[in-house]
Amino acid sequence: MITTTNELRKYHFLEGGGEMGELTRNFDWSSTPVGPVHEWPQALKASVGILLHSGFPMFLWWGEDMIQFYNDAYRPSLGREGKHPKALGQKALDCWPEIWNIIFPLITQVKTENRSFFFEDQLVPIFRNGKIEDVYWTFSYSSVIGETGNIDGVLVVCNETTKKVNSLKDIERAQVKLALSEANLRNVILQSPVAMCILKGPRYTIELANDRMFELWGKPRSEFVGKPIFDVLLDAKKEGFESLLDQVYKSGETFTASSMPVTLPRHGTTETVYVNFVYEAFREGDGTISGVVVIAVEVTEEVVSRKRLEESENKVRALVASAPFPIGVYEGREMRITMVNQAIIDVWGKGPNVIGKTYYEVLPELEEQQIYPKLDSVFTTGIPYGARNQRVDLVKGGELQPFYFNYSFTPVFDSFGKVYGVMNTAADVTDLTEAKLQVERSERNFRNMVKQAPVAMCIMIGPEHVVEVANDLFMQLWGKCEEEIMNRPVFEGISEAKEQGLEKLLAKVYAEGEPFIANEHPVELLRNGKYETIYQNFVYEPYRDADGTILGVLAISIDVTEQVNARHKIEDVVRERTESLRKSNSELSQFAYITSHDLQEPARKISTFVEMLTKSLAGQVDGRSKTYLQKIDLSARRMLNLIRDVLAFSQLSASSDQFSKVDLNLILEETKSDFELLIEEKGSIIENDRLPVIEAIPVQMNQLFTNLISNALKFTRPDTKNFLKIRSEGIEQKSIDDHGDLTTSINSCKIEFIDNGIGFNQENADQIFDIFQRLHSRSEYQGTGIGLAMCKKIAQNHGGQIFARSTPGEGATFTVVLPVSQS
Amino acid sequence: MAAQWAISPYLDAMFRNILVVDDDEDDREFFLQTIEEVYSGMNCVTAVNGQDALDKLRDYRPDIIFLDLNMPLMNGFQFLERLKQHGDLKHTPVVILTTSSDPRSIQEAIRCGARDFITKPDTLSGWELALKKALSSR
Repeated sequence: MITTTNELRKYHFLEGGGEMGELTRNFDWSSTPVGPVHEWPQALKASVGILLHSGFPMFLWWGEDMIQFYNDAYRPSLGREGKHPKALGQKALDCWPEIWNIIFPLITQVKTENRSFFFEDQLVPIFRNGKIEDVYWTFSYSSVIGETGNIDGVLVVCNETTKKVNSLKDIERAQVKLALSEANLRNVILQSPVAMCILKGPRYTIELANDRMFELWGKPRSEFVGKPIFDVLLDAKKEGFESLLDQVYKSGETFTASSMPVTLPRHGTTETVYVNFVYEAFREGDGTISGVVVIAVEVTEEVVSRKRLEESENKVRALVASAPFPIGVYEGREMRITMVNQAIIDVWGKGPNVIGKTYYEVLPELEEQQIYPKLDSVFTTGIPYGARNQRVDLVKGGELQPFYFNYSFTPVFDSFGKVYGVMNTAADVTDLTEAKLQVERSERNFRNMVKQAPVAMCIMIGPEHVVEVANDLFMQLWGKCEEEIMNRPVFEGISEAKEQGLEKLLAKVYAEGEPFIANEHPVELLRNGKYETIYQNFVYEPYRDADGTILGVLAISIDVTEQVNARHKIEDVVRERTESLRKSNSELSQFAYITSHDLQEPARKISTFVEMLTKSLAGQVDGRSKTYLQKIDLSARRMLNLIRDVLAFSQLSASSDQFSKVDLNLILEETKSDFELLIEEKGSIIENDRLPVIEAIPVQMNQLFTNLISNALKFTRPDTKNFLKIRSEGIEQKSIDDHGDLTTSINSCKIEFIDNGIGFNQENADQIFDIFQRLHSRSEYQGTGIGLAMCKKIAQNHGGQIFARSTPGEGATFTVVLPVSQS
Repeated sequence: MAAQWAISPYLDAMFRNILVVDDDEDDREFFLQTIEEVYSGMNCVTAVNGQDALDKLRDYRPDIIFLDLNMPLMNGFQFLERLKQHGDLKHTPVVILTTSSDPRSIQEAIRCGARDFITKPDTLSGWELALKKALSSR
């Protein structure tokens, strides 16, 4: 039977009670062993009333089956998706199977022994929120005694203390942790692989420090115990570490230092060591600063090695910077420029600010020049790349210009053997390469020139003299066509030219590099089907490459056959004429000799007989007859002189067997001796230099000196003391070849005969050397007019010269130049 | 001037006998006259060519011979060749008399054994001088 609301309304104990009040009122209690509400015993009504209106969590089991009641305060303990609301009116066993073993003994004791239980923070895991949860409870079990005096129910007043218990547990754990962490801190400090210590108080007394710290400080633990640190480390105090600690101690701000130098005891002395350290404020639980934690690592070795590394890097940089050839180092695959020297900056021409930029940024013009892939390949493969005489176009002064480089890309490896960059070295060989190109161009031009030359030219290469270039004129000269000649050894092409001496000449020029010049060289060649003797003027010139190595022979030839043949004809005629002339000359000379020899005889006799006649007629002739006799005598003598001079002149020859060493000093002495009487008579003074010994015809030297001294003694000024100076000096005389060109210079002597006589007009200076030329009448100065002509002939016979210089009244100078040797 | 060149006793002793070989009568006369005038007491025999000279030498032993080169029948060179073969006379000094100082003839004559030469002078005093020079240059 269902209790209606109206019915229930009269049960005041069921009024209110929130959700659980509502549920309890609406529950069909008649279906349970408790029965409908109106049948409930008073104790139950009272208990449920208390329960529903209590703010404290309560729970009631009633009757034998322990049907359950609970209130809103208890409700949260059942969680979500748990036993609520099913637990209302449910049998205890059905509701709590999971804790039945815990609660059943308690319930039984309450019911049978009327005992009450109180449990604080008891763990009673229950199913709620979809799972068994550990739930802590503080609860009491107490009996509800019915009207019969039996214990009809068990009231549970409970409070879930899970949160409290858990909080307590957390606190406990935290305490353990704290203890542990303190111990850990000590251990951490003591076992730390780095030096650590805790300095306490404003004087930084060492509370805790590990062995590494003492090692760092360089003193044993015993010296520090309980002491302010700077009482022990005096140098460090001076170096400002105390004020650093003060700062941290006062401000609480952490201080970190890297590679800080500090003077510390080491090996019995003090040394500067480098330390990385942290000063950290040490705070108590309430946040107050009570000291400083020091963590330090000695990095002396690292600093020293880094310094060394820096030094060596600086050295490398200096090396790179001072290198006379371009060097650049690019790092990373993007080829970021990290090192360059002035040389490469100059080569690039992009200004000095290239460090930090990438190679591609600096040299965008290389994009199309196949250089980027090479650079990248060196970076990715680690295989170096090198190029020679490579053309690289660079933008300089806003203009793309060609350059030539020998360059290399070398991978740069890190200490793990991994490529981290590329080193670029280069040598600017633009000038060299351009010079080479220029040489090649010149070579081409030269070959073209050879082809177009107006004279026959050809180039023969190698020891076989292979004809590489030959122009048409050469083909014509050889009388051959191109197919017969070109690219073959020359003596294969013109086999008939063999064994005419040309092979030897070519081989010599090719081997020794001395040019050979030939004039009118005859060669017999097969031309136009017949053998012809060709005369050529040719030059064989060594043909060299740019280094001077002989590659072959350049032949330049002019066909002078016609001229030579013509000249041969002329020469034949000249030879004939010369021969006949020589013959007539010889006849003439013979005639001159014979006539003068034979003419001499009667003249000589006339002279002697006149003398004899004069002598035998002495005293018997009158004045007139005497004059006649004198005139006959004078004429005869003049005739004799003339004949003898002509004779002497005609005998002046220059055959080589007549030459011998002649001491001109002896010649001079002899001549002076011949003129002794005359010199004495005229009171002449003759001074002379030491004269040389030369190769000459002795008789002719005698005639030369005789004539010149005779002249000086003859052409004197009556009012002046006669003086003759003979001066001598060695000179170089240029010899003159057949073509009128000066050739070699010849060691010669120059002898000057300087007199203070009457002299002559300079315009007659050449004329006086002609035969029979006289400047004065015979009555003034005696002479035949042959003497100076003889001197000229004698000088010529010796390959020398004679000339005269004078001013009338001021003396004359006759200069004779004679070669010292005739060879 | 002749007195200036008075003959020395030494010369007297050395050249008492002279042979002059010359086809030129005038020259023989100039020679003899000079000898006669200056060197009196000397024997002077003359010959007109080489053959004549050889004939004269059969019974005449001169101390010195003056020899012209250019002569008919036997010239001076031929005479010198013959003289060289003459056992007794081959050491007799010979002085060449020549009209011109043709060096080749003189050289040839000296090669053939002549000791000296005189270019025939054109004055008597020249002759004296030349003979004095020749006779003193033994």
